[in-house]
Amino acid sequence: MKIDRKRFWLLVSILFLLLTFSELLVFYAVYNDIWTMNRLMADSDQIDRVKLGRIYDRTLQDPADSHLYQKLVQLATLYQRLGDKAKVIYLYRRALVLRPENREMRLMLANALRDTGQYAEAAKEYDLLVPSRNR
Amino acid sequence: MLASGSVYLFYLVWRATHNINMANAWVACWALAFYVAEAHGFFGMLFHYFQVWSPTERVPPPAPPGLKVDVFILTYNEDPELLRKTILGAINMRYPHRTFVLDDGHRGNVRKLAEGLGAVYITRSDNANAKTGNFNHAFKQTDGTFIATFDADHVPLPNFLERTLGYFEDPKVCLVQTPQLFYNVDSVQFAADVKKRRIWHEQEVFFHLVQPGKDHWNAAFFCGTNAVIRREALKEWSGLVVGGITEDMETSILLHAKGWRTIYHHEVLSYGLAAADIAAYHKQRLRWAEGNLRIMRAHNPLTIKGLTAAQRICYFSSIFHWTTGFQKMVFYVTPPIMLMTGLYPIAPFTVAFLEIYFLWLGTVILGFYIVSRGRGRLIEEEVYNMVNFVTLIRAVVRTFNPVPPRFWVTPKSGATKVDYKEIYPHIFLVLLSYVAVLWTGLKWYVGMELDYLGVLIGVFWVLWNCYLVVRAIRVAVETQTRRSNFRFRDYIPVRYRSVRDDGKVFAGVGLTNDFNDGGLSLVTYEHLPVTDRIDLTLYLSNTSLTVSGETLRAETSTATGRNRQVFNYGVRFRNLTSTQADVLAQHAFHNSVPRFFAKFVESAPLLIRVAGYLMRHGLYKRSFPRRRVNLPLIVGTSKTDLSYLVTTDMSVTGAALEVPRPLPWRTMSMTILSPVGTLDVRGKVVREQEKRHGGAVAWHYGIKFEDPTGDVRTALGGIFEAMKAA
Repeated sequence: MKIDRKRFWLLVSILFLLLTFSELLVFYAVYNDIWTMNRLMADSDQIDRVKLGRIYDRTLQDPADSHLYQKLVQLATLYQRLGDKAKVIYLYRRALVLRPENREMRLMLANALRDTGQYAEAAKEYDLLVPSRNR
Repeated sequence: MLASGSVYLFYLVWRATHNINMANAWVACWALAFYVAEAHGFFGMLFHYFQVWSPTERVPPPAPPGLKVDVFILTYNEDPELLRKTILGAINMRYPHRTFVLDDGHRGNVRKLAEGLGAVYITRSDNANAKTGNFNHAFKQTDGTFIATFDADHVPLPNFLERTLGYFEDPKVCLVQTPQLFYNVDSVQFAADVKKRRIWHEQEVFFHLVQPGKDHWNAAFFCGTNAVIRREALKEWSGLVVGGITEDMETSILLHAKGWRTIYHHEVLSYGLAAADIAAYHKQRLRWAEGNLRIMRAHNPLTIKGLTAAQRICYFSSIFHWTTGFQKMVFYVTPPIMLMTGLYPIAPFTVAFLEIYFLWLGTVILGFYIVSRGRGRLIEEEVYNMVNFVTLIRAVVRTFNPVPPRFWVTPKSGATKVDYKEIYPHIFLVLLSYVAVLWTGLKWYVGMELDYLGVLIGVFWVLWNCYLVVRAIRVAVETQTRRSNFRFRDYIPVRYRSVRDDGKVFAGVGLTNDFNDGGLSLVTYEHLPVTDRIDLTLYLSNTSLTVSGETLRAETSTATGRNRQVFNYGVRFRNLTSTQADVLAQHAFHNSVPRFFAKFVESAPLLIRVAGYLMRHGLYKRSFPRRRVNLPLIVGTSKTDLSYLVTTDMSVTGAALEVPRPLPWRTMSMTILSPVGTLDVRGKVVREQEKRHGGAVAWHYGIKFEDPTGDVRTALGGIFEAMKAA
């Protein structure tokens, strides 16, 4: 096929549109859960428990997910708002396995443990937060 | 040079010890490739600095009389009209010589052309070993002590031999090479802005800095054309060295290994044609790159006996230069990968790293500009790296094929179509970059956690690469010689006479914008009929030429009133004889082209430019600003003794003229023709200067108008206003 100026730029434009479209599809497939959780967080009214439950299950079923950490944190934040402390504690513990150096998260875990009356566990986490005791 | 070399070395060591990302095997491979690309840059820089340490500027010794010189013009399939100009240029060289046309195309019309012009035609039964074989065949049939060799498109100036033969007084000198300059400034390798008087071509640094620099180390090499060679030096191989596709460099290496000296005479003494379109350009670059890289297999300059250490470095650096394709590719694909994956070849990617990085970058850029001595243009260089990177990668890959390729000729005649295949890799890069930026944008939109510093650097880097890609695509699709026969830019005064159908005669004086042997573009200040007959007298530098033609089209530059119009006509010559065409060609190559290039001042170093800007705009201002106005002018004392000239610049109090011979008058009456009518004025010569442009002499005059009443000033003010509107 002879490629002249007009045909060439037409092909480039079509390729451009196709790429945009397919990229949006791929992106949606990869980041759907994070996107949904962000929308749920922005939602000031009620959080859709069913939707969140599905994401919770999917997240825990895929430990190799490269975005696992962010998903765990987002889930923890949403369950915190729903008041489901058991799930919050579990999610924080999983997230802390991935990034044990995150002190802010450890504090939130310790607070959640304290709020649920698990004082001994909470004390352990608080201890880890104090540098002198940590040595 | 030393400072930027040291900073680069420090940067590389620091990167190696602190900043290579080894997160996993894939990332480590990528990070190491990136590091190797940076190290490649370091070695490239060192080699370049070594070569341009002390460029030579030689004053040629006078050519001794009585040398026996043969001039070879090598041709295969070039247009006979193009060849005619070269043969004419060769024959018109002043030093006594014989001209041979070496035709591998076995063409009867070329034989006729050569013999008609007084050259000797040589052809052979086969085309074995292409250009080298052609040269060597003629080498055996001739006996001149020196051989000047030209490609079919390189037109030598009359003083070519006079300026180069003197160097052979030294019996160890085997070759004198001169620069190549190309007159088709609208071709791919030029970045020309005629209005701003800025011009740069991709080989500028090579011919005006690297070759003079190599000359300092006795390592300037033969470039295949525009050179004079001592026959004795080539006797061992019965001509040039046969084998590769870049016979010039191979021959040079062997000549140096035998202890011969080469000279680079840094003066443009011929004008040639650059590859007209992007496909031809890539074809040429591929041959050069592959040919040069293959020399590492045939005559490795690092191991061959007889070369000095400096010569080894110079040759190796020329070959090393062709391997930059991979390095550039790594730099082009790294930022999209960074954005897509969130991974970096550099880790930790911190502000501390950036501080060191920018210190390094600043030093390298500063070093580049200092070393370039006004010849380097960093952005343009990067644009052409972007244009070339795929071709250079192809060349490296092809070099691994043990079967050497056959020589191929670069098409030099005018381009016809853009080959879009040449920009597929660039389109791919743009799309990849777009995908990466869109991906990052979406991640940001959905609230993914991002390393904002990395994203910022990545996006900036992608945008920079996209800028280079867009420039590279423009080079490929917009820059091309559109005419099959290049038009030379020159303002030549022209007397015209045209008769309308109703018998009304239009006669006057205008000037050309450009011309070739097919026609010209004529500027007049009155409306002419578009007819099939217009008689023109062109006042060339040494003679006048009367021709006839037909007006094809008319363009009005401005419409600010009936009397303020500038008309531009396309004129096609009719029945131009070959003698007339030769007169035009001679004027073009001896005057128009050298004068055209003389207009472009070399790019001065930054500080000088800043000082110049301040001088022009702040500290010092002319009371009457000069304008680059080209108006036809009739000068003379009587009606029978008139000279037709063109102003090079003007102010309301005076004008500058460039004249091919000295003016006999100190005061003169002049008639200036302009869009607002003619103006008669008396002028006095206040400055006279003799200048040489490529062997042609011109006298520059400063003329002050005698204007006791101030009328001339008022009239010229009006002319400038009209010109401004035009």
